[in-house]
Amino acid sequence: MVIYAVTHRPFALRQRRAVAFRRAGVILGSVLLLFFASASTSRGEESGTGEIVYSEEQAHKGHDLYELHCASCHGAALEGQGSLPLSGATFRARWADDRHSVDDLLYIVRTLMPYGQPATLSKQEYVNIIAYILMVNGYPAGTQPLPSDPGALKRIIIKAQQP
Amino acid sequence: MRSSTCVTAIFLAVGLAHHNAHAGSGPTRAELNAAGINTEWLLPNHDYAGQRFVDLKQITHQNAAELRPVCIYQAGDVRPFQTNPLVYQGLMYVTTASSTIALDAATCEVRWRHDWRSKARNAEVKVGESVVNPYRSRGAVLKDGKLIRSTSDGYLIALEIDTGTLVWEKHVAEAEKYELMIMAPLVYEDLVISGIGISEYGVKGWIGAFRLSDGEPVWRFNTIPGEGEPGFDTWSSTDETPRGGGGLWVTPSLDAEKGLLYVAVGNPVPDFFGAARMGKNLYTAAMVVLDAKTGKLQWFRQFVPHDQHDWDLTVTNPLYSTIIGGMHRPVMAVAGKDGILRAIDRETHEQIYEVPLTTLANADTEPTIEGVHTCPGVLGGFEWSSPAFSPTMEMLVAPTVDWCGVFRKADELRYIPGQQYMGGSFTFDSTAESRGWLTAVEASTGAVMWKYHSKRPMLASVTTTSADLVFTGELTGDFVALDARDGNVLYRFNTGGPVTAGVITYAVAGKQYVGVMSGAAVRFWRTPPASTTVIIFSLP
Repeated sequence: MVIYAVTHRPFALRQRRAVAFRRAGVILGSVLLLFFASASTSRGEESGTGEIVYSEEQAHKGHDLYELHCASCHGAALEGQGSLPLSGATFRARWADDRHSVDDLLYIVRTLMPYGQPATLSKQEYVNIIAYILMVNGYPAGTQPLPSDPGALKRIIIKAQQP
Repeated sequence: MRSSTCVTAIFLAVGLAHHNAHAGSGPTRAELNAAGINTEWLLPNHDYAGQRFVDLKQITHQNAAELRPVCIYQAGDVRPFQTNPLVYQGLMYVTTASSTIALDAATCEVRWRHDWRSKARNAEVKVGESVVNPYRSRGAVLKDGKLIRSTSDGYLIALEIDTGTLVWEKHVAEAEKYELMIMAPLVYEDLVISGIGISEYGVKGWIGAFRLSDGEPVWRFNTIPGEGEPGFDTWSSTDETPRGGGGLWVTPSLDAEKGLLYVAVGNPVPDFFGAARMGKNLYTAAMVVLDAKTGKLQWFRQFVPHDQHDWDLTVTNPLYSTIIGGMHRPVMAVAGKDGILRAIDRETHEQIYEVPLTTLANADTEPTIEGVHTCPGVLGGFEWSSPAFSPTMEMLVAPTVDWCGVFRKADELRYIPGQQYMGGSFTFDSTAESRGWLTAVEASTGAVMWKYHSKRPMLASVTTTSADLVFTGELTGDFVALDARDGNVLYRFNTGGPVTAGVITYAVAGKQYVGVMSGAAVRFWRTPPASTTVIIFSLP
């Protein structure tokens, strides 16, 4: 199963971030072949299968939290205004490399962020923000929310992407 | 008190004679060895001893209020600006993260500019030239017609000081793994000395020497000992919790006569999770004295054994002599993020005194998962600017940060390659509660002579003069000239951006100037965006 065997439907979520659409478009285009090759296989929307899963509703919540706690440093479009970009080449270099799990990403975010006020959000809030970051970086939404169980998150590897 | 008038006259005359000379062959070894009595600024901290004292007295208590800007140069850069400039034969050499600029030190006219293009293939380091890579340049060094500096992608480069033309480049550090040479290098005889400065990514610190002629490595000293090296057994770490840290923030001071290098070493990693690295964790938070020619360890003294608060030793350690109990004693001042200034006898290695120069609270309490409110906070104490020594006043003048907060140990320790390896976190008290101090202490006893309070942490370098003035800057953007006798402010000018870098004084063609570096602060400091700016002041 390939992570880029992406959803056959457009994002129902009307993302408020044009960048999300752009990234999704790139990913979708680059994996169309893979989609057709694997259309009959499971889309792996259940947690614990190793696939990235999150729900649109969760990403919505994550977006609102991101705006409140993260955007002032990392930019409204995760472009890294004045701080680390959370999208694009930087995200690919730091996280989307077939080696890091979603739980690794969550660990860094929850132990270090928001900057100067770390560990001040609830675990679910951090997970929702992660879902939003994954959405902006082109990983497709599914029907199941991203779990908050560390064991399940550790099994979800952030797959490498092509620029 | 020294008889400085005569010395000033001689060196102003020498400066005049050389002003229009060809700079291409200097500064020489003799000039660098005598930098302490030179009225230009030949080394990152003025002289090998790191005293930051200049024998100039045109600007005085009486006329300092008449200072005004002579010229302003903007480099077109909004990244953090932490350079300590150099001035040699009338030209000022300034570094940004990627550019090196030679300016007329009296008019700001640009003589040349060199822009380094990163060779990094790693996207993060590439992108990092803007904001991702925590590299910044704290300056350059000059010798024998060359300027040597580090780059964001792990090179040392040498430029012709007359033209800015690249002479050599040498890849010496793995920037992709956060081996970043932030310090201004040092040159001792025919060796360039530099080390890596970031600890928080699991990097193991080291300092090395490279041939001035071509950058070839000559020696290396590991500040985090490897297996088989002395000090290795002061760490309990395993492969799962790798040892790291020991970054070097600033240029070491040097006893050029004895060839001894005084190296201030940073914190151990993971920062807040001491249980993963039981032991003293040598040589972190230690003063390490090396043979400058060979890199061999001569002696060391650790000041924060088994640090759990990210309390690096962060500053150049000024070397000076003072009279204690009727005896001349060779002393060095040691300071770091723990906020304590210490004087150490360089011969007996005894501590003569220690004096806290910022608020201390719960300093001996290790971080817990619930959190412990502690002072100093994670930013010190002392940041990268060192105490300046005034031989005329027999005092040290030290800039400090006073900003407490809550240290928390993580509920789980995890090393993720390429990510910060803190083992916990720090929550700052509000920005409004942050402040700074400039404190003058008697060099022989540590007795506090005066304290100047700043609204924000004090990060800029400090310079003293034989007219008993102190020049420094503030995070608020102010350049300030103070009376070294009582700390009263004699002149203040807002530069438009935080002053977190070099403030120097020097003479060109017989006239005294003050050079102030103003620009963006690292985001820790919560200041508005600012632009890299050099402002030169003088009397009318």
